[in-house]
Amino acid sequence: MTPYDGKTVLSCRNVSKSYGSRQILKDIGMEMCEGAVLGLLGPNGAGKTSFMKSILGLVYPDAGEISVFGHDISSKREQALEKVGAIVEAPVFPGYLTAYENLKYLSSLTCRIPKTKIMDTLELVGLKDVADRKVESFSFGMKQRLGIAQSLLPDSKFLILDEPTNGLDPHGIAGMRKLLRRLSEELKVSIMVSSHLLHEIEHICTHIVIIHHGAKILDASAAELSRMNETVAVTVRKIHSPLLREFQGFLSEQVLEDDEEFSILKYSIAPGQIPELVKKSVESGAEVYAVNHHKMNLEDIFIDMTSSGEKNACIDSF
Amino acid sequence: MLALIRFETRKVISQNKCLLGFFTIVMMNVIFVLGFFIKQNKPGHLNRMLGPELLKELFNTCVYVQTILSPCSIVIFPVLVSVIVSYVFAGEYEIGSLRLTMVRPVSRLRILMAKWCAVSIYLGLLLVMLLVTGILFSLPFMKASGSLIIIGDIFSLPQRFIVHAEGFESYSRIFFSYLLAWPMLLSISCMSFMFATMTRNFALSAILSSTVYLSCYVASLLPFLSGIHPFLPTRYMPFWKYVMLEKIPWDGAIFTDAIWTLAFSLVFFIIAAIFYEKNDF
Repeated sequence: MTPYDGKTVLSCRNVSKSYGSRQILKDIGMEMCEGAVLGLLGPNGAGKTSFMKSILGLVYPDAGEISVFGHDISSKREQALEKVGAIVEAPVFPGYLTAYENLKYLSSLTCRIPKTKIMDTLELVGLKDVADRKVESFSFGMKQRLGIAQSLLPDSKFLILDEPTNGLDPHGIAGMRKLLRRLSEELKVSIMVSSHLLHEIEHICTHIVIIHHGAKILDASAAELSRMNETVAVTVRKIHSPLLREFQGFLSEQVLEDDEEFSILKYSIAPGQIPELVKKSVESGAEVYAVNHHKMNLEDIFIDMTSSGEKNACIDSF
Repeated sequence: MLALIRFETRKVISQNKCLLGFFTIVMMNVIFVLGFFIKQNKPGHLNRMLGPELLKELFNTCVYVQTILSPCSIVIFPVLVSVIVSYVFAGEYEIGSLRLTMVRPVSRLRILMAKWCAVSIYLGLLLVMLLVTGILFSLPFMKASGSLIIIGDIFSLPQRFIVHAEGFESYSRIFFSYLLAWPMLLSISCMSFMFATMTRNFALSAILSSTVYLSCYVASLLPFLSGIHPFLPTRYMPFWKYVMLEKIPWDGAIFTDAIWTLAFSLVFFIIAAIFYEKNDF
């Protein structure tokens, strides 16, 4: 186990888990630093929730090591989770207790906190006015907000949020985005969040991990991801396309389109390299008809990565 | 640990299923008061069995609260315990609220112990309520006090009739029988926790727990099956009935049966803890 350096909040190594012959987590390893906001993405059934449950000690991995704040989750679970708040799947509260009572009892399992702190947290998630109402009368979105409130108490420094925006209205989603930003930037709270709202993830996360069929297929910072996924498409006469593929330093990865007359070639390069590419193309004798700069968003990357080799994956997933 | 027990107790006491227990007690009292009232006016063979002197004494609050304990502790409460415990663990697992507690920095063993403590408090309250409502329901129809007359058949005791004098003698027997009925229910709750952690399914756990208990109890009553009696937990659990004997066998049957009940309970609880500890949630 790596010694705790005071900055690595989560460290996972070779985490694997199987149920019978079905392997749901395959050799997953990752690290999370203080203040990071990690977006955990994956199609339904990819293993995101199982991975989060493993971090929380709800699911025992067959192999691998997980440490939270330097404490091994399997042998020192209580110390490891002292400053961890979580929502796993939809938060279900005893409906016959009020919002305030639920927070009071749940946070008291970690340590005692004053009433004012509970009320402040309820205000933060927009539930202060209904603090004394029984949770059974709450809407799904209100329960979700209460789930976020309970994860923040008593003084969480690492949040694990499994689809926290589920059931929230647009105001709630915007509020959640602001809240997560504030927590990570001002209070240095580390956050692992899974969501299918990729646009939201793209806006709030500093790191992205994609899990597919139980295996980690992407682990990159938001900045790296942005750089990695800038492409340039060059349209040339088909007969000239072999000339362009052979450029040194501008290796074309694939032909996007190929018809009788034209070929569109894709290059993974930064926009600053476009003039050089055009110059070399012309020098080689190729007739360039168009140069287009593309920037893939997270949704494009996600679909691209999780549907590779699966024909019509997006359509078939319904 | 105290915070956890407080939370679990609050949950147990507040939920509708637990109010069902209090409602059941009221229902039992209504049926028993009616039964006593009818018997009081049409004694039939009781008159021949007890004679006019004892019959006059029979219908009093002491006899009433002692008699109602038998069906409640042997049949009604065990079934109720099975349902409540199954809900407290398997039910919470199924609806997802168990996870809220489990993601907190508390061990699974502590959660299980807190749940058991909460159920124990609830069972204690049920017994207190049975005693109090028994007194309240019987007072308008019977004498407020009198000798405690025990009809042996009702409590599976060897003696046909046992009469305890009015006053401290009667009250202490009632007090101890209610007090010792508590460990019996606690033992059944351990068994229910075992099935709840094994199945993690509310309906399955409630059915398994109550049918296993009732099957064991019926088997322990049949002389033909005497060979299996020493292995049945229900053979030892109702040791509270011995406080109704003329001389209370504190060092004898009560002590040995209490030890066996404790041993069975520990085994049930350890199995429950192992299943809870080993399973993924």
